[in-house]
Amino acid sequence: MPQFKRLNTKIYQKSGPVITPDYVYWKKLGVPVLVKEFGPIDYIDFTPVEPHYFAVTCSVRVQVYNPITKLVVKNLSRFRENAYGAVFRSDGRLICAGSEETNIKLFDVSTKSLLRLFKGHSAPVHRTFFMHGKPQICSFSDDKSVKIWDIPTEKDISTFSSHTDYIRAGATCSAAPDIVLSGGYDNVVKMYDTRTEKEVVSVSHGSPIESLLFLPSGGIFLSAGGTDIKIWDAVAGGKLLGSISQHHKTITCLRLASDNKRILSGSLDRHVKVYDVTTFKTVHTLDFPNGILSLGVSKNDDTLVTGLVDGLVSISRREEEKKPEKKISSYRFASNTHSATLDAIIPELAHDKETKYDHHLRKFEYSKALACVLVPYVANKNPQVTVSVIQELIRRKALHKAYRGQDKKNLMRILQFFVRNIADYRFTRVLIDAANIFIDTYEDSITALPPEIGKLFVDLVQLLNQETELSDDLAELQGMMSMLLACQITTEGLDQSNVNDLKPSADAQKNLVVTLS
Amino acid sequence: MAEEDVTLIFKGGGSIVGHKPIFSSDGENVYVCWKNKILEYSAKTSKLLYEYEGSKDPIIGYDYFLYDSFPCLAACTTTGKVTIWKTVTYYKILEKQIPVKQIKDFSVVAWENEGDFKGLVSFMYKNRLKFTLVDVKKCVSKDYSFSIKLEDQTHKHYIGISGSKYFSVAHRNEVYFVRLNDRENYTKCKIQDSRTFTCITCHPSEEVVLTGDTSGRVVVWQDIFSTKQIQTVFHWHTLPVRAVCFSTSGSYFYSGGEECVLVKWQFHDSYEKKFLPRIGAEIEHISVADNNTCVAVSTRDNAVRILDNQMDQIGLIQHLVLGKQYESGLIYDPRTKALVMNGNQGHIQFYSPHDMCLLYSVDVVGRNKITNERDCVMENIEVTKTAVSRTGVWLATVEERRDPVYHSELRLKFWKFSSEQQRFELNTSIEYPHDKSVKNIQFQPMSNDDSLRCVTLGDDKKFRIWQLVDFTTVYKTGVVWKSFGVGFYRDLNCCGLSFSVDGSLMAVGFDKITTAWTPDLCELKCSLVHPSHKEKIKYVKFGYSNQCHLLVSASALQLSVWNLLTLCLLWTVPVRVELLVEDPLSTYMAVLTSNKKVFLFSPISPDLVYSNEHLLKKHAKVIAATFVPSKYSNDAGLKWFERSHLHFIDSNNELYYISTGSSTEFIPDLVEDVLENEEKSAFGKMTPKLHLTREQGEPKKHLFKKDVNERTFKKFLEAPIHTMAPVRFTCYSLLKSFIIQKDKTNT
Repeated sequence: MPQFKRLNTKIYQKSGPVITPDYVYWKKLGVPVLVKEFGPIDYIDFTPVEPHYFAVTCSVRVQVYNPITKLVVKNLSRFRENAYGAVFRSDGRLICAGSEETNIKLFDVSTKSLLRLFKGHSAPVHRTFFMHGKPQICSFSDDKSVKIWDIPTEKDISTFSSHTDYIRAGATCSAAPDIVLSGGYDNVVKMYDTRTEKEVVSVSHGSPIESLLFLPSGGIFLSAGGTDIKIWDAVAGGKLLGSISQHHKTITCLRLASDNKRILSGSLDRHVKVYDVTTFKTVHTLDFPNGILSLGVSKNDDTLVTGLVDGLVSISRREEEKKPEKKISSYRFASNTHSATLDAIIPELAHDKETKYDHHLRKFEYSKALACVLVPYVANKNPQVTVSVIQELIRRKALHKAYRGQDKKNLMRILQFFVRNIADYRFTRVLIDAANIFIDTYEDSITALPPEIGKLFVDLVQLLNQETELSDDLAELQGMMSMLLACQITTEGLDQSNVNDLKPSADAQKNLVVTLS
Repeated sequence: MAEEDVTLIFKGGGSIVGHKPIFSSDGENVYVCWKNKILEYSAKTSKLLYEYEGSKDPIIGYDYFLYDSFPCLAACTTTGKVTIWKTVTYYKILEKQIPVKQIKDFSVVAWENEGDFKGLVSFMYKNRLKFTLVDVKKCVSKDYSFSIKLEDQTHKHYIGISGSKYFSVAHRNEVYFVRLNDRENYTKCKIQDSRTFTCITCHPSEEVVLTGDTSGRVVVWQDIFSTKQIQTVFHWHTLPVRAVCFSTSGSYFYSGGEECVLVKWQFHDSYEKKFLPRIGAEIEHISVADNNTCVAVSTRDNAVRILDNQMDQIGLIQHLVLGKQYESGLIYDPRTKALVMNGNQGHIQFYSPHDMCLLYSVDVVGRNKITNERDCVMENIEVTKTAVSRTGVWLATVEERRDPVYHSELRLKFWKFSSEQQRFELNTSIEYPHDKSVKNIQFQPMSNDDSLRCVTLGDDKKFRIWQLVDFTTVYKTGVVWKSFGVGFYRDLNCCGLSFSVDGSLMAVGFDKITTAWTPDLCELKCSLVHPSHKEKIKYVKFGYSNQCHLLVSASALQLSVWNLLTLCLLWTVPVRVELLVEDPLSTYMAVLTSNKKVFLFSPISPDLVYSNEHLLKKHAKVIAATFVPSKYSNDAGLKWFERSHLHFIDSNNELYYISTGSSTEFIPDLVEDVLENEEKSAFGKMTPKLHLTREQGEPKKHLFKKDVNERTFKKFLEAPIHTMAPVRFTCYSLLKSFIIQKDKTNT
């Protein structure tokens, strides 16, 4: 006996955005909590250690937040002027930050005490980074120079000053600890080797660079500036691998996420885009209420924090999934007592889980099948299910019987459903038939129906008139367009005939080769 | 083999569900009647065990019984030839001609004393159905006095027999009960005029008869030889009951009908019943094994389903599925070398003509079959067109539900053969590819499947080109079919579609105009029409190989050939074309006309390669035809009917092809002669009774004979010229080598 084949409701499914795994993944980020700060949010950095506090740099302070309570844990406010680009060291104990006052400050996170003060830049320092595996800091300043500092001695080890404009972006890489990247408003990305103290690679991005990102392998880096992200091969001497142009306003920040499998970019166009690292294709887009200046993601993508232009910090946290454990309520009926020595064992019939309408259709209970898909939850949320059931009933020539079995409330629902969905191109054919059958069924007893139903009929008529007018207009437009297209084809034909009229040139005529075979 | 020998060769089809399947006494084997054969299948594995072949005439009745305390099988043909086989040894032990004409039914009467062999035979005599008891061994018959008047053939009669006691006959709304040993008397009962009997069966031991009727009732008749029979009604079916069958002891019975539901009733309680719903097709016959372990259900799709006593299907004996229609035609699948055609409702079947077996079916529509209701015929979705790509990887199907009142459904589906799963998987499903139904569908004949195209011809006066496009995302790689372009010509109806051999050009017939298009750009290349041709074009076909520039177009009255290089009409002949089929291996094309003539021609000339006016004369109407490359298709020296076979299916649902020779080779029967047996020793029995000496024919000649010394000669020629010895030294040996070769071929 073949199984009862379930009703295929996918035929009428909306061909909207495809539900991808990434869509599901990023949708799990909950409703963001907005925290108001003073002034634009310059930088956000997560500590790599549990419980993944994050530092938000804005105006004259650096604040460390707890991602779970969304409250400020530490407040580093020993700045006279604006602080910039506060980052955690890889053990999460130290924070270093640049500032408008040209100094770089190093703090202990737990005691909030200022440990070092690096002086030497002559203009504000916008980005600072810890060098991986070394007691060093690199800083990127508006005085067009990049400096490497030794933490114990508080001394400047080397200085690179080959940029010709402000440096607002930088990056270091854990795989290549001696390499520093800098990107300036002179549109150029430069790569320095701290061992030889030389500039290794220099590439032009084409617009002022706002953010740089090394992929963890160290072989590829990304630069963001203007509306483009450019991908460069560091090993091949700065070969341009590709360019991503998905934003329509300046891109301000880049981040790695999902265990380095995804790249996030935030932009002033209020979107955060998620890219796949291997193909650099967009896999998802997150929307925010205002332009994005800075972006941070915790490890495992538990928390996504964005700093907006108007000083709002948006913290969204992934909702914890709890799998409900199934409790076995009784052991009394557990059947595992059969021994294998019996003559024949008849296996227990395992019924597939089936939807309500499938159950009713299988049992030929047509009225019930129709009634269970007229429930507002189904009819409003999944109209394609309702339409599929109606179609199946038409196919079985049972829709008029199913109508007869409905009460007044459901009859109202049917007509409301028609009014709401008959204009949808997916459902039009089926619903026109269904409406015709409805009229056929109640033709003789139309006066017995409540007046509300008459009102709904009037609505339906009005709607249908609108639709026919619209389709007339569209048909007119189509006629005009096909006329234009027809004209285009004839001119093409003429062009081709001209090509065929080519005559051999004088040289060609002279160039005579006789082949003997 | 000369062309005069060209005949039709049977390749499958024909019903196996015309008669009730019969179990052997141990329930291990089941016997099924197929045309003039009885097939023995294992009930457990549903494998074919043996074919009992007797005569050329179709079998009208057969039975399994004990004869001389051996289990035997008896069959009677329409001409009255009765044959008995011993089922253990497969030996034929008796063959007799019974003296009855116009036989309608035959059933064996299980007589008490063994060695006796009597059969109940019904026959037509002057518009009346008469019954007679025939002693087959003695060839004597004794008629029963009672007879039934059969005015017209619209009402069938049904016969049930119970052991050696009585039999009962149902006809229209009357049922008759007759004792076997009482030739004079019978009892009869009538039901309402509105109901007609549709089946009858007798209790194996008691005087109880079951009947089914058109209103879906199963009636149990008890006390049948009294004047007032007792009726008990078991009513569940809404449609006519097609089959009823008692269990061995008779405590319960099965019934089935057009609802495709098998119902198991308890004899003493009409409320207690068990159902087996959604059996593949309408039930025709039911039979129960003697030990009640198995139930065989014959269904209208030419299958016998074997169920165990829990009513779970354990076996399926399936022949060529006899669908209701073969609208999608016959299509050759190059991957499986099978024919693709309509099968069960909403399915297509892959039938291999070489080994005459059904390979598999593909459920195209994926819907529950909607069975009819009383006074209400349901329209199911049917597969109307199919196409297979040249590589056999892609399958395109068009399914349609033609609703007479409301909107019809139309769907185009593309299936890809998955080599891992070894089955077709749905790739793309397109709703309403055309506004009205699809008339024709074909794949572009490309040898690689990237950017493959497919063209559908619609009833909306348009053709549509579909293209395979890449659909790769971060998550998965894949391909999907999308619409590429639409073509139409002067608002004319299109019919007939063909691709050129390389797939660069396609021809579409628009009304009486033949047009050629480039499928890659969807551009019109040329349009061809002859002013005197007024009929709509039915078929267009491109020529093959060196005639690929020729385009054959056929209308209801003409067949004409166009040259596409010069754009002129090459030749035209008046012929009523019913089917135009092209051979994929040669330049030949076959025309089947509406008056059942077969013509074979090459587009280059109007001279016929082969024609036969009598081949199909007595045959049923040909519905669909196609060429199938034979096993020797690589040998270009063979004749047309040897290289690829023209297969066709006729309106009797039988599949044939045109060729010479006969597939039905005469196999001598294994005859056990009782008298001779005693004289011969055990070894003597082994010598065959019939000696066949087949003359050794001339060995098949090939186009070229393999040159014995070719290799050495070639070696000599291929050697670099500066390394060769002077010609005067080699001349002698070379010439000598030729002499040797001649010697060899002579000997």
